[in-house]
Amino acid sequence: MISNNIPPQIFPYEHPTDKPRRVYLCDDSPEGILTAIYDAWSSRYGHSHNYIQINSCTDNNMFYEYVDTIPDLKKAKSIVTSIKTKISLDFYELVESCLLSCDINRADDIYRLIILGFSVGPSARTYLAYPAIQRVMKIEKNVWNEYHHYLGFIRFEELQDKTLFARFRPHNNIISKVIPHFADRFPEENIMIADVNRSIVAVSRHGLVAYTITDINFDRITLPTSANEELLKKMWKGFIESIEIKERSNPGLQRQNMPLRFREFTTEFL
Amino acid sequence: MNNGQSGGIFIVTENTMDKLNILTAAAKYDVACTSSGVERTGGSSGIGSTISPGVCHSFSGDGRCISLLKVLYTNECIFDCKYCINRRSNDVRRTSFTPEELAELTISFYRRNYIEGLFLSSGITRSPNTTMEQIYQVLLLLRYTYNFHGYIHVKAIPGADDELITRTGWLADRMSVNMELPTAESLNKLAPHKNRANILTPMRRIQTLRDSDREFHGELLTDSATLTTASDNLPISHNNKSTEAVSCKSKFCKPAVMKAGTRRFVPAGQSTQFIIGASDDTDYQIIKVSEALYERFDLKRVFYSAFVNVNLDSELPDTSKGSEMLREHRLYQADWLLRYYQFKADEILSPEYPSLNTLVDPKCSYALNHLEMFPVEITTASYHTLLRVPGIGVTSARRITSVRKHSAGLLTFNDLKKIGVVLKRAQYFITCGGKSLVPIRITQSFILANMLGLKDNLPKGLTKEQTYEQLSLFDVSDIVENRIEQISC
Ligand code: SF4
Repeated sequence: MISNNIPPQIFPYEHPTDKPRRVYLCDDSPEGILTAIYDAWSSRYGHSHNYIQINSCTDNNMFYEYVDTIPDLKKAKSIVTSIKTKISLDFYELVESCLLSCDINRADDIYRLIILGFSVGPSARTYLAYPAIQRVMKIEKNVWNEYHHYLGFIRFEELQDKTLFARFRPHNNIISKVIPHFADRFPEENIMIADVNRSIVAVSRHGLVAYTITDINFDRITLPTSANEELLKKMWKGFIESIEIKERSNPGLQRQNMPLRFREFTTEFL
Repeated sequence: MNNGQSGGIFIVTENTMDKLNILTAAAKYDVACTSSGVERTGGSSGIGSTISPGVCHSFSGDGRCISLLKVLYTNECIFDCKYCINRRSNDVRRTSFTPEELAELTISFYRRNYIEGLFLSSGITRSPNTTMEQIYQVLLLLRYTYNFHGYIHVKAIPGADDELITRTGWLADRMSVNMELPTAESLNKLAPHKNRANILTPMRRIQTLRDSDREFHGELLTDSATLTTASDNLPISHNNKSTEAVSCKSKFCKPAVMKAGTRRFVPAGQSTQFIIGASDDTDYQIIKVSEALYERFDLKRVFYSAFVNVNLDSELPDTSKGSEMLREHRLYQADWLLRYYQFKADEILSPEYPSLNTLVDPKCSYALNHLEMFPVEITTASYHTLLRVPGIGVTSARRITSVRKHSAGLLTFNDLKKIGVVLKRAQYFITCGGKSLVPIRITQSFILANMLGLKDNLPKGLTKEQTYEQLSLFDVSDIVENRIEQISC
């Protein structure tokens, strides 16, 4: 085993003997998880006896103590500020990616990552001997990959008022990572992106970004598009068609590189 | 900005669509489609940004990444290169864009996030200068009329005036001149209108101007600095040769960023392409030239394009079996060794053994031929040495060196696995704390036999079927015997 100079008690004991494990149940949201971390931390019950779990994945264990937490923006913000100022901005990006992940078991791993971060600094990410850190790195990679894929696979339609409108269905809650990219890329446009599953809409107007949660069903809705839209869609499809080297047709490779789930709203595969 | 319309009238029409289809089909054999190598923010006006690892926007039916609007300006050509579908002697429909039309189309596609930018190449109409001039006009419109900050890759037309190439270079992100063939003889045979000097002149010109631009910005790199940048530009995946990626500590963090509107000379560098299998040049000749291009012309990428005999020219090899695809793949792997693994072309191949092994990848093949260098002790070996071990990639080699810092001597095989070392491959070539995973006599054929049983990371759809014939060239019985020997002990 790789031995690092870290007090081992920051990681949870599988079977604590002296007192029962205390499980903090939290909301599956960044604020929810951070609040639970805050509560666990300030309880002084001991990191190794604390465990953080998203409430939708509870399996009740009669030897554990369960504590409900209520998402509290203030508590969440105070952790964020400490991470940014006491560890590093880069490190916060890592924490943020994990918070936005769709992995239902991530809450405790994030807790461990933050403890380790405060103890050894930004290099905590290299302590791969710890399973929690390994999982965190996997989660980050997964979020980053999806984000990076969507930078390319998102398709805008031009609506009648020239607004660029796109919808997507990401696994991870990455809309807040995706919209800044387009806001920066199209500073003079009005942009609207909808996360169809979460019903979150992000808009960017001349580079300024805002979010709302709506009850519009973006699966159903069709918005009137501008006059040239159909022609351009046809041209794009034609381009995709013409660029293929037919002698080398390889739908398997195409599917491996662009899995079907990304094609739901891409013009060329409709 | 005017939302993709010039003078209020939308000039992209059904007619443009027709041209687009022809000029796309005519450009598709050029394999480069990456949008990587330059990071530029969008700024407060205009349209566009670039991100350094590049972005794939779609994948075509042949599985290739589509990042850029890859088209020819025109498919008219006064030359007659044998391998090319646009050659003068072919009877195909000819057409050309107008600069206005192409600029507007690019912007319209870009706004919808279809593409990351434009890759503009062209047949040679009338003269190299006329052609270069037209390309320049398109770039001028995009950069100044549309205030476009997205990615632009253009061809430098061999034979065009320095002056024109220079002006174009100030507007482009990447420029390329295709070598196509590695030797003067094959060039002479297949592309009689082209010659080495013609191709290398613009390449050298671009390099010189790029260097002085970088020197002006205080970034002319010393050798050691070049090394760090090279290792900072780590690739994400071996299979996707179309994206070059940057790894930094946080996956979302950004490398040195250019501001929108700053004019730099060809900031994403130059690339070139070889056609594989149209001539009988060897792999050795090809990677020797690639190495020289990386070292002496500071090229960012060399692309390899498996030849498709589009003209069904009987003087050229038949490509209907697609056997060039595996060769192309192996060349990319060898190229990878040159760029990221500190290999020299002469270590990979030699005039006596000029072809890459189709059965195993070039790194593996190197290790098998240099068993005297192995096993390597993981806890002490240098980064350079670690890179030579099959199953250890750039990332895992780096992780090993960094983990050793805070836990020297305590690495186990299990840790190596966690770090990302592919033990199935590496086990024959390493010891860890003096221990080995394979307690028996290691011979070349023993390892080969075992390696052949492993899944080779070939791109989907690419099989080694064609190589079973070649397998019989090896002494199969020897391999089989070794396997049995292994089982019985
Ligand atoms: S110069 Fe040669 S390769 Fe280029 S378009 Fe003309 S015929 Fe084709």
